[in-house]
Amino acid sequence: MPALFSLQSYLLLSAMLFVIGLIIVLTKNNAIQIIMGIELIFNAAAINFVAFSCFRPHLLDTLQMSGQVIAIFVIVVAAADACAALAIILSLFRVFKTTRIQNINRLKG
Amino acid sequence: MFSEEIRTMVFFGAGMMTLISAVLIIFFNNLLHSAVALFFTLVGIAILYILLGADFLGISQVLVYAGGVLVLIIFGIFLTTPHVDELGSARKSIATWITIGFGFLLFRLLAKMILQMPWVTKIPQSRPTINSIGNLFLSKYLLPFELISVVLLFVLIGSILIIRKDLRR
Amino acid sequence: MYLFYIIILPLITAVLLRWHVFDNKKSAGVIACCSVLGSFVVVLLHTRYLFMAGDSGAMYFEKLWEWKILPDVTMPFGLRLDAISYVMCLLVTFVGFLIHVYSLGYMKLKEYSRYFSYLNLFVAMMLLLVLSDQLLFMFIGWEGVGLSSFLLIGFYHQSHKNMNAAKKAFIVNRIGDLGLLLAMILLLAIYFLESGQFSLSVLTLETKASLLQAPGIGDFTLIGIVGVLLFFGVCGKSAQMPLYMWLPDAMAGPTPVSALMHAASMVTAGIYLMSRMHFIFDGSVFVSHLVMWVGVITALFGSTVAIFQRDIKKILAFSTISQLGYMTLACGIGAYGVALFHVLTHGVFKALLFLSAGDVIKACKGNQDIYLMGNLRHKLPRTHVMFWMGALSLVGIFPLAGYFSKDLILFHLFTNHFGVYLLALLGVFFTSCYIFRLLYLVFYGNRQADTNQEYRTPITMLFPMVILSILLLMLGWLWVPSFLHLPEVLPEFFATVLPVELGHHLVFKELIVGLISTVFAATGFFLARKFFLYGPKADFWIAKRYPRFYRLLSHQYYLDELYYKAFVFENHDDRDPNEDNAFTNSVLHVVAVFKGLIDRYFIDGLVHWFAWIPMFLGSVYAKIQNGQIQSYLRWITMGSLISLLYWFLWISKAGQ
Repeated sequence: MPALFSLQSYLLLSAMLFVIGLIIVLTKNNAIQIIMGIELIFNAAAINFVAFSCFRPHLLDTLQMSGQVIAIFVIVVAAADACAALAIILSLFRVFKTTRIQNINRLKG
Repeated sequence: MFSEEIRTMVFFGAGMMTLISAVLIIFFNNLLHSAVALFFTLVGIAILYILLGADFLGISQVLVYAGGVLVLIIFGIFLTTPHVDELGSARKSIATWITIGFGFLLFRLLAKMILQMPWVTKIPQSRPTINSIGNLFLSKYLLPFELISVVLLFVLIGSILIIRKDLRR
Repeated sequence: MYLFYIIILPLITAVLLRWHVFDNKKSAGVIACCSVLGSFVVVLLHTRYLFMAGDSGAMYFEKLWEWKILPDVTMPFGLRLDAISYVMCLLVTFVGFLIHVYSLGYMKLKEYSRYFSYLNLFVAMMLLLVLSDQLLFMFIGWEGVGLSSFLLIGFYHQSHKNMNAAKKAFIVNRIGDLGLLLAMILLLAIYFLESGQFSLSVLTLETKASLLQAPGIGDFTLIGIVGVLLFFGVCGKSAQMPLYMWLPDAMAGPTPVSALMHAASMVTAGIYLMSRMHFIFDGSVFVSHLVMWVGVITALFGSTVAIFQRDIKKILAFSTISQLGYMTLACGIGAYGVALFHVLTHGVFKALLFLSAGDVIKACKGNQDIYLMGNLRHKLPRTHVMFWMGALSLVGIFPLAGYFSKDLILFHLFTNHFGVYLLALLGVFFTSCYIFRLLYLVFYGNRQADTNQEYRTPITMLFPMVILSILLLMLGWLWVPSFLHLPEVLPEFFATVLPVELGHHLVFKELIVGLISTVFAATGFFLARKFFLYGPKADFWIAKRYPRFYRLLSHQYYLDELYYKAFVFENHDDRDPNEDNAFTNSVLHVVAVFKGLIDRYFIDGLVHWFAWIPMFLGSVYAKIQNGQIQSYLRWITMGSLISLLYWFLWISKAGQ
C-alpha cells in the first residue's frame, strides 16, 4: 500500500488487533484477561466499521455516519458484555475460589 | 498543508502504541500490568478515531471504554485475585504455540483479503459528527437505539441477579 | 370325522398330566389309558372311510391348515389315513393301550403323572409321525418320538447310567436325523425348483418321482443320494448297523417303555418311512442293495450277539435289532408290504416277550441277570406259557403270527437273492438259539431263582399279555401263503398304496421255504434245550474252550467300545488311566486345540475388533470433551479458519 494513512492500513490494524484479541482469549489462563481479549476483539470490529464509514462516505449519502453509529452500538454492547461477564466470573469465583479457567472444568465429559 | 504528514505521523504513532500495547497484554503476567496495557490500547484507538474525524466516537471511546469498562475490569481484578502477580500467565503448553500459529495464519488470510480488494476511497473529512449521529439515532437507527437501552437494563438487572448473595438461606 | 383327535387326545392328556392335573396314581394312569383307547376307537371309526374312496385307492385325507411360509408359498398340513398309516395307527394305539394298562400294574413310583404323561406324549408323537401327510410334519413326529424316548429312557433320572443311555439314544438318533433332514431339503429343493410348490407331501413326491432320475453327483442319481440320506435316518431310528448302539443301552428305562418303544413303535418308524418313500428306494438299485445288505448284516449281528448276553432285556434288545434287520431286508428287496406285516407281528410278539420279561423281573425282585434265574415255570405258569408263545412266534413256527411274516420275507429272498436267503436262514438259526437259551435259563433248570414269594402277577399285567397272545394266534391269518386259497386280507389292503405282489406263488416253493426255516428253527431249539435246560453251565464251558470267540460275542464284537474310543472325548478327571488310548486322545486333543485357536482369535477376534473400533473412536472424541472452555474455543476457531481458508482459496478463486 502506498500511503500509510489509508483504508488498508486501518483494516490491517483492525485485523491485527482482532488476532491479538483472539490469541488472548484462547491462550490466557485468567478469566479476567479473557475479558480483556474480548474487549479487544470488539474494538477491532468497531475500528473496521468506523474506517469504512470515514474512508468510503459516498456509499450512503445521507447516512455517512452509519459506521460510527454502529461503533457506538458496539461500545455499548461491549460494555454490557463486560459487565455481565464480570458478574459471572465473580459468582464463579465464589464457588471455585479461583479464576483460573483451567480449574473450571465441570463441563468435562 | 502539513496536515498530511502530521496525520501520517500521528497515525503511525497511535497505531504503534495500540499494537504494542495489545501485544503487551499478552506478555504481561501481572494482571494489573495487562490492564494498564489495555488502557493504552484503548486510548490509542481513540486517537485513531479522532484522526478519522470521528470526534464524538473518540471521546465516547475514552469515556466509556477506558473510563468505564476498564475500571470495571480493574474492579474485577481486585475482587477476585489474592495476588495479582502470576495469575495472568498464558498456558505453557504446545497448544499456546499452535494457537499463536493459527493466529498468524488468520492474520495472513485477512491481510491477503484486505490487500487484494481494490478499494476506492476518499480522504476523510473532519467535521462535527455529533449532529449526524444524533439524527441517525433518531431516524434510521431508532429501533436499535431503544433496544440498546433495554439491553443495558437487562444486563444491569441480570448481573445483579447473578452476583447477589442469596439472602434467604 | 376328525383324524386329528387321534393325535390331540393323547397329546392333551400328556400336557395335562405333566402339569399334574391328575396326580393320584389311579386317576393318572386310568386317564392315560383312556386317552390312548380313545385314539384307538377313533382310528376304528375311520375305517369305513378307507373303503369308500373307491378309485382313489382307499385313502382318507384330512387337511388341517395351510402353513403360510411366505405370501405366495404355502405348505398344507394334513393327515392322511391310508393302508399303511391305518395299520400302523392300529398297532401303536392298541399295543400302546395294552402297555398303559400293564404299566398300571408294573410301575411302583412315587408319582405317576410324569410317567404317563411321557407315555402319552410318545403315543401322540408316533401317531403324528404316522398320520402326517407332509414329510416336514412327519419329521416333527420323528423328533418327538426321539424326545419321548430320551425322556422315558432317562425316566429314573437319578442314575448316571440311565441318563447316559438316554443321551446316547437321543444323540445317535440325531445323527441319523441329519441324513433325513438333508434328504428332505434335497427333495424340497428339487420339487420347488421344478413346480414352484412347497410341498413334501408324499403324494406329490410320488407322482413326480421321475424328476429324481436325474443325475446328481458323479454316477449317482439324485434319487440315489436322497435314498442314501433317507436310509441313514432310518438307521438312526431303527437301530440298524452303524447306529444301533443306543438300543441295548436304552434298556435302562422301565420295561413297559422298552416294550412300547423298542418293540412296537419307535423303532418301526424307520420301516414306516421306507415304506412311505418306497418309490425312492425302488428308483435306485444301489440304494436297494445297500438297504438289503445293511439289513442282513444287522440281522446276523443282533442274533449272534444275543446268544451270550446275561441280561434279559439286553437279549430282547438285540433280538429287536435283529428283527429290525429282517424288516429292513424286506424293504431292501422291495417287499414293503411284507416288511410292514412283520412290523405288525413283531410288535405283538416282541411286546409280549418284553411284558413277560417284566413279569419275571418283578418276580425276581428286580434282578435282570438270567444266570440268577431258573425254574420259574412253576412260579409264573401263565407267563411261562406266554413266553413260549412269544418265542415260537419269534422263530417263526406255524401257526403263530411270526411264522407268516418271517416266512414271507424268506420266501421273497429265496426267489430273488439266494445268497442273502442263506444268510437270513442262518439268522433264523441264531434267533432260535438265543431265545430258547433265554427261555430255558429263565423258566427251567434246577436252581431256584431268588424270588418274591408272595408275588402274583397282577391282573393289569396279565390282561395285556393274554390279549397279545390271543392276537398272535389270529394275526398271522391276515396274510396267508397263496396256495391255501384263503382270502389275502392284508396284501390286498396294502396293494392300494404299495407295490405288492399278490398271490400266485408256486405251492412247492412256499412249502419248501416254510419247511426249511422250521427245520433251522428246530435245530436251534434242540441245541438250546440240550445245552441250557439245566442251567448256564454251557456258557462257561464255551467260554473256557473258545475264550476269544466268547469274549468277542459277549462284548458285542467290541463295537460299542470302538465307538466310545473314537467319538467320545472324556473328561480327564474320571478317566481310567488303564484305558488310555494315547493316540486317539492326542489326535482329539490336537483337533481341540486347533479349534480353540480358531475360535478365540478368529471368531472372537472379529467380534472384538468390531467392538474396538467404536470404542477407540469414542475415546478419541472423549478427549475433546475435556471441560476446558479454551480448548473448545480453539476447536471452533480452527474450524472456522479452515472453512474461511477453503472459501477464500477455492471458491473465490474459482469465481475469478
